[in-house]
Amino acid sequence: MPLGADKMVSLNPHVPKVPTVPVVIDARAALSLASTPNVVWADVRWYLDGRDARAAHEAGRIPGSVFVDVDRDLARPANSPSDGRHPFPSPAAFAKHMSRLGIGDDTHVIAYDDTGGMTASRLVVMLRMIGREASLLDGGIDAWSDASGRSLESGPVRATKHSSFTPVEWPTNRFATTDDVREVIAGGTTSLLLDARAPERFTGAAGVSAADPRTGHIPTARNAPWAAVIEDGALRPVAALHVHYGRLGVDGADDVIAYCGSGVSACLNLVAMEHAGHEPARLFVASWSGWAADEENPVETGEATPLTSPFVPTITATGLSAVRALRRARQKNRLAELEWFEALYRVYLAAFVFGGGVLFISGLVPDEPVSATVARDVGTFGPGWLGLALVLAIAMGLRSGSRGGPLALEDADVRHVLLAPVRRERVLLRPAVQKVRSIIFSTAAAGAVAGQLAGRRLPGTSMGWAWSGVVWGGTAGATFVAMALIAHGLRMRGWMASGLGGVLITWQFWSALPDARFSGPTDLHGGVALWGERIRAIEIVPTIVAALLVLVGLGLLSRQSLEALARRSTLVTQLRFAVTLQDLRTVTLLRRQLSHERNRPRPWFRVPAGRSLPPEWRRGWQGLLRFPVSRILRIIMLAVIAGLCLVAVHNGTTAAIVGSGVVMFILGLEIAEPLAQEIDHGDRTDAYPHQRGPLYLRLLAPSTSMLLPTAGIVVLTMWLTDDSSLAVAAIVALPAALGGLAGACINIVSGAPDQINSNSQQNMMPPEVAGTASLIKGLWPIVVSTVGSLPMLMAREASDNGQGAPAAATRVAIAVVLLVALVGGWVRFRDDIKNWFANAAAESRGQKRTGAST
Amino acid sequence: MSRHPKPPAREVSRDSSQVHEVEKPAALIARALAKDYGDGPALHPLDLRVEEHERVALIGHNGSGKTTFLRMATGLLEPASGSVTVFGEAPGSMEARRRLSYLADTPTFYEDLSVWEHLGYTARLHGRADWEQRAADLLGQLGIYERADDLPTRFSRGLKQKAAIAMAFIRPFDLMLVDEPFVGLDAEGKEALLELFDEASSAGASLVVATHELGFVTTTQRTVALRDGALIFDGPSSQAKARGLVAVEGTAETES
Repeated sequence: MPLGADKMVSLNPHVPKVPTVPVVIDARAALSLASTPNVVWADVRWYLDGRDARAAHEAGRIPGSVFVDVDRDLARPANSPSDGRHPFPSPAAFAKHMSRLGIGDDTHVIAYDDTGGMTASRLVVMLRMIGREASLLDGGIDAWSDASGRSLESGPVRATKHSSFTPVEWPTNRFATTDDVREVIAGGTTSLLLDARAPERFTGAAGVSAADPRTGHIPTARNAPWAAVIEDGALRPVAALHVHYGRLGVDGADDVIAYCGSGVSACLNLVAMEHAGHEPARLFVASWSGWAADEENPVETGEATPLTSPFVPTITATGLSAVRALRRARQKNRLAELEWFEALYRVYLAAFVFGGGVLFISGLVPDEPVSATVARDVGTFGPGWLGLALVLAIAMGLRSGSRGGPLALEDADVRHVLLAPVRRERVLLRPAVQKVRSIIFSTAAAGAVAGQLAGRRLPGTSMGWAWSGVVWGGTAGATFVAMALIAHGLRMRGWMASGLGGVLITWQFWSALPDARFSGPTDLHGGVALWGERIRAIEIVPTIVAALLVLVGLGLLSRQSLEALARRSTLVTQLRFAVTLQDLRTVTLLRRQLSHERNRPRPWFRVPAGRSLPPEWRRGWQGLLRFPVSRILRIIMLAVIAGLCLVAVHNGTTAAIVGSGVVMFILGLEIAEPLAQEIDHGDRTDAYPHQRGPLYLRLLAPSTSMLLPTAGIVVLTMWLTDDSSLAVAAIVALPAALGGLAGACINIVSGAPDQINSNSQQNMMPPEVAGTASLIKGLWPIVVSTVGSLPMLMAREASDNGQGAPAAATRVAIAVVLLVALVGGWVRFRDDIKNWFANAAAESRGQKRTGAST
Repeated sequence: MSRHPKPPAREVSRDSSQVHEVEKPAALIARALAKDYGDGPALHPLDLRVEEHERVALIGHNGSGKTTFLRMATGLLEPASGSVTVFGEAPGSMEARRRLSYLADTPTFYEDLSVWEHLGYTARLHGRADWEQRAADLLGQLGIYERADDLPTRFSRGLKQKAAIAMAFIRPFDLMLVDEPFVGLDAEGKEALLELFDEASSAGASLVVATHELGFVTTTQRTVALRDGALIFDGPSSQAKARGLVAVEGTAETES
């Protein structure tokens, strides 16, 4: 380590030579020097608490050592209080004292004390400053005893033979004056002030005392307590010291000024810094005693200036308050990073596309106001059917809670915060409240859209319907989260949750049937949705109950299962990432893992052995046949919902076509699993000696055949709910399912890594273009899927105009099949097309280059 | 199932009845602790007692149940049956969390915090306000002091592990459970970690370390070996080595 000692020589001609002995010497090495004639052991013990150092010296000392009196030999009486308590003696006086002690020009002084070096360092520093050989005995008197195994010597202070010690001027470049320090505070120089006093004296907490006429420290100083460099009575290892001073900012500072109470203990910092390989620092001899004596000198109290980066606020709290402080700090950081303009732009774009787009498209085909009979039916049966939303919310909430929902924390929060001795319910409160808020917000928004659409066809104002939709949706959302929190807190088993939910759903469903004589459990909630037409005060009860349930759920937070939180946290982090990328495929996949859904270890039945089946088909079937019951049930449920949506379209609710499109798309994602698996493991696919396109297409074959039973369920649903639509249903079901699969394929395949990395291009684009591009990429598959349901709309139009509905549906269905075939072609030839374009582009570039060079 | 070789007869050197003796405060007591993930048992009923100040090496193949056991002791997993206590308290209880430090096999960090901030946060969560010096020392010891202000999520595997080690040691603890801590560490890192373990031991902490690192196993008195979720050995480490358990079970190269 460069000690910069040679620089010192060049700066100050008064210093004849650089010390050659190490600044710190360990006891073993010191003992080996003991026989050398010019070594003097110097006892520099001195006590802040007034104990008599001389008495200690006489009671026991390293044999042959001399007694150095800090007050008399190493200082002079102060001329004024601002000199401090231990000003340096004059060179002549110092030389006289040294001579008396037998210390000459060539003497190697080994200085020791019993504090690890707090006082002996003063002598070491003074001697080395003027180029004399001096070392601090590491570990002091105890280390000597341990290393030598000899006993101490006692008796009165010995008389020593005088040596010749030539006086040398104190080198000014190793000191800082009061004016130097004032300049540092004023910001004139970038020096670092290190205060060696104990933390409580540094902060001022220790109060005024004889040692400290005023409390606190010199402004801008950092606290480097002398005791911090000592461990078990000796200096800490060099590496630890280096880190210690590095942390205090010594490395980065141009110049370091050490001070303490009276210029003694600061010397230990000087010695330790030199020992650790830092540049030699300056000593502010007057120190705090001198500085504080002058009332004009400014003083600072409290903690030192924080050492961490200025960008992150220093967190000073512990335990729970640390959690809160950190969350605040992180939120601040996050918001600071956010490009507000871009964020608003995205919100605007999404609102325009989703909100405006849906309303615009549904407005293209006008909704017809319903007849008076239907309006009356809505009033009679509406509460029952609409109340289903609440029982569904209860059932889903119970289910989610029994699986460890609804909370999703950051992985690191689970590992570090939940395993810390901090009250869990307090840590979980914020994520739980946020969950409640976000779910209520989204369900209320969905309710508003539904209410708005209903208001177009039913009597009453659009606004009234929208607001009743908000209350209806928000209540269902709140109930969902509350039930999930409660079920989790009570550790409800999966079968219990399913059973309870099933009973409620069956009850409500039964009560909603036309000939039911009893009312359902959630009719009141269903009634809220009809507030657009009439208002009944009693119907607010479910909303109040939901609010109370939320409170109960939050009260049960302490009982959340750590295992469930840990399992969900990893997945949810990925899920959030996928959602921000608008990648629905990943969302489906992760949802599956979240709900603990696993493939069956054994297939439902084995694919018969035989050579005729292409390997991709076999592989596809092997995957499909391992679908767990829950996934099959979900597929059936999705098919039923799609059927209901198509019936709604048939009966005049145009917007339901989007619902059918989305549901079919999700269904397609479930069914196209074999293809998705292959694409998720792209590196494996690339290892096959096949082109990717045909391989992908063949993998789709089993999925396509799965569409037949799915379409069957759709037809069955449509026929059961509205038997007038059977003929049309038979025609439209398959195209709708095909459309969904095609949409899913686009989503899955475009998720595959491109041969050319498109990411960098994305980054180069202006945010407006990139935002739109990613939105289109996310929406496009759903649009294709929705097109699949168009035959139903056309059939309705035709029958309204008195034409043959089946014929119209068939015509559009053929168009849909053609579109799906196009998508298939895109999957097959996608790589070829890309390569062709890439080649063409390369060629044209090449031509340009040759053209330019000729 | 028949494809899998049967585990050999259990050779438990400690008398299991000893576990049911009168309660003495022990760092870790597992009684018939078992876990099942839904596809076969991950850990067969396990009886184990780790005394205060004890130092135990936990060895076994991948999938032998080491991680499952450790995670149940931290409370991150719930036992399927049986029980485990940490200083007489349930895992995950406030007292257990205060006294147990867990160094997991996969380091986990916040994306937006530096190593230094992670250390400060962890220390303060555990009520330690004077953490800076200790943090600087730990980082210096592990040789990543220069990276203190960098984001650990961008680190390589080995650096991440070092940061995670610092986080496990910045907080006070009486029992440390460690899962494969040497994986990905360079020679200096291994050396520093062994030193830290020694410091923890001399400060009176109990250590349970799942590892194949011979450098650690040789410093322990006691070795516990698991195979396919069952205890196959619990006794002096020298004996484990003599029986070839450490060499056979623990070929460090195969760990990843």
